[in-house]
Amino acid sequence: MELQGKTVIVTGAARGIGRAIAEAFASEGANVLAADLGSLVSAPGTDWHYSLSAETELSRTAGEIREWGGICTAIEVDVSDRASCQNLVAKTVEAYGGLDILVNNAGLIKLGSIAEFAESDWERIFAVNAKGVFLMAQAAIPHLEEKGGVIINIASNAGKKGSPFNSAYCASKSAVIGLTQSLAAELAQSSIRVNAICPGNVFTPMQFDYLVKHRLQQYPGQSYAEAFDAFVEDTVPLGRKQAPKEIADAALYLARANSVTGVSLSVDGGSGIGLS
Amino acid sequence: MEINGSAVIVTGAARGIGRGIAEAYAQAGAKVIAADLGSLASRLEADWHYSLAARDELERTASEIRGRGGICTAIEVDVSERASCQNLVAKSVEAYGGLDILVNNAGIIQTGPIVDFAEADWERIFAVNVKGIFLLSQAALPHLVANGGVIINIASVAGKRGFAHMGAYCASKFAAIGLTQSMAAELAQFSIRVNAVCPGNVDTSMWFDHLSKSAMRQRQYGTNTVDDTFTAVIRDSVPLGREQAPADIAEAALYLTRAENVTGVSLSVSGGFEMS
Repeated sequence: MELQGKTVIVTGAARGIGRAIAEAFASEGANVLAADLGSLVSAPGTDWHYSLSAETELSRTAGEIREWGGICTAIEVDVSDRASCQNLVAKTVEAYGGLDILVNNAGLIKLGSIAEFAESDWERIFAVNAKGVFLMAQAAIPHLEEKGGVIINIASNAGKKGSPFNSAYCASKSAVIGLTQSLAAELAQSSIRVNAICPGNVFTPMQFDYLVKHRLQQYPGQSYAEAFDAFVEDTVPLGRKQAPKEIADAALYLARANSVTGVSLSVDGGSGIGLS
Repeated sequence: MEINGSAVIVTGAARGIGRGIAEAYAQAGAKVIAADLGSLASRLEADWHYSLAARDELERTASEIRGRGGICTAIEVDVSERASCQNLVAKSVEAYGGLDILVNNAGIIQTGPIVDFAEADWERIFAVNVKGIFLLSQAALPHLVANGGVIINIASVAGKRGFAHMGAYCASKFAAIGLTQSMAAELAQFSIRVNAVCPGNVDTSMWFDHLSKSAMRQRQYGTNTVDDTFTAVIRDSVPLGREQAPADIAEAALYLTRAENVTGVSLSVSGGFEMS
């Protein structure tokens, strides 16, 4: 698919991987809907264990993309809410006359032992990471069907392999990969392609505000950034973290690759070798 | 890796997927060594059940690339032979001053019931499809280590899923994927990335000169011509309903060459074939 002039929704676009994906599509000449919680972050029920993107981050991201000449509109969404997803798609179609590409990137995490993991945290993780993909896809499909669109789900290597104290997140990302394959098989007849990207270790707010604090105690006396770099040097075969832009490069490839559907492409420096 | 100005070996480059890959790298500004059997195809031990690339096909491919302004040299190789692989690498380095990228694309097929499959055919399939990767990678590694290179192995969806009457070919392609993962894990310390591309159904000589005839003999599709058989396979088994072009496979190779944080993956370019 040629990206110039196409319309793309990116969820979780205020920062981190989603922001880089929004920037990459904008720099290819696409019309970008940067979607994130925005002011909804302070709505009841969206509270979380670390700071989700702040109200001002979404509009700042969209404003900075427009500043260098990109086409970008910020729209608030809570992907766990059906009406909110439908509102996002309706506003997108209103703004740009259609929808070609949906990037389901919004996601959240919480670690903890399965024995005492809170049911409400389980529910919220699945509501955003898995059901959010379902609800956004359902809202978008009528528009994608018109011209053969593309859905790209940002899963994780955690969706290919379990890890201790990460049950809810791993299960939700496994669900995303299963959903990706099922949607790919089902929507091929409408020439809609559905693929996933599995990032390895990207230094995003999810990592910085949460994971590093909870998982990297073995690197005492180092800043979070230093501990993260030491961690990837110790555990990633290529020895380095992944940049948000590298996930975005994979998204651009998958958006263009007309014969690729149902894959889950790891961009992880080799962390997931052997996982399928 | 920046492709412009890099030196790349593509095996099986005379025609089909290999030719598409050689053309794509040349178009992107690489110095291409197009390698294939050439006159070696007429040796007894290289004899096969369908016609392998003829000498003039290799020369023609290279000269047509040069005719379009690309940089391309044809060199003969039998990838199942150590001395021949070493000769290829030595001549490549002599011609272009180094080696950055190796695309192991050469491959052969023979199908038939496992019960009376000839041991000699098994040996030859493994000699080319698997040992060929081993031998050529071994020859290339000293040069790739010098500047952090890239190896791309053209495996197959038959390396992810077994198919009736394709035991030898599937086992060889599973082996290519296993080798890809092992080399990726081992060579990451030298910043050498190793990935596989898994094509689905591509309009190549391998398909038309062999697979279609085999499918017709088995009357799987009730068709009488190779063209009708290919069309029937695509219609019945590929979710996206279309064949893959050599250019589709080449685009995946270019993406994997550039993707600095991707190693050890096996990227299907199959229109969803392995899900069907």
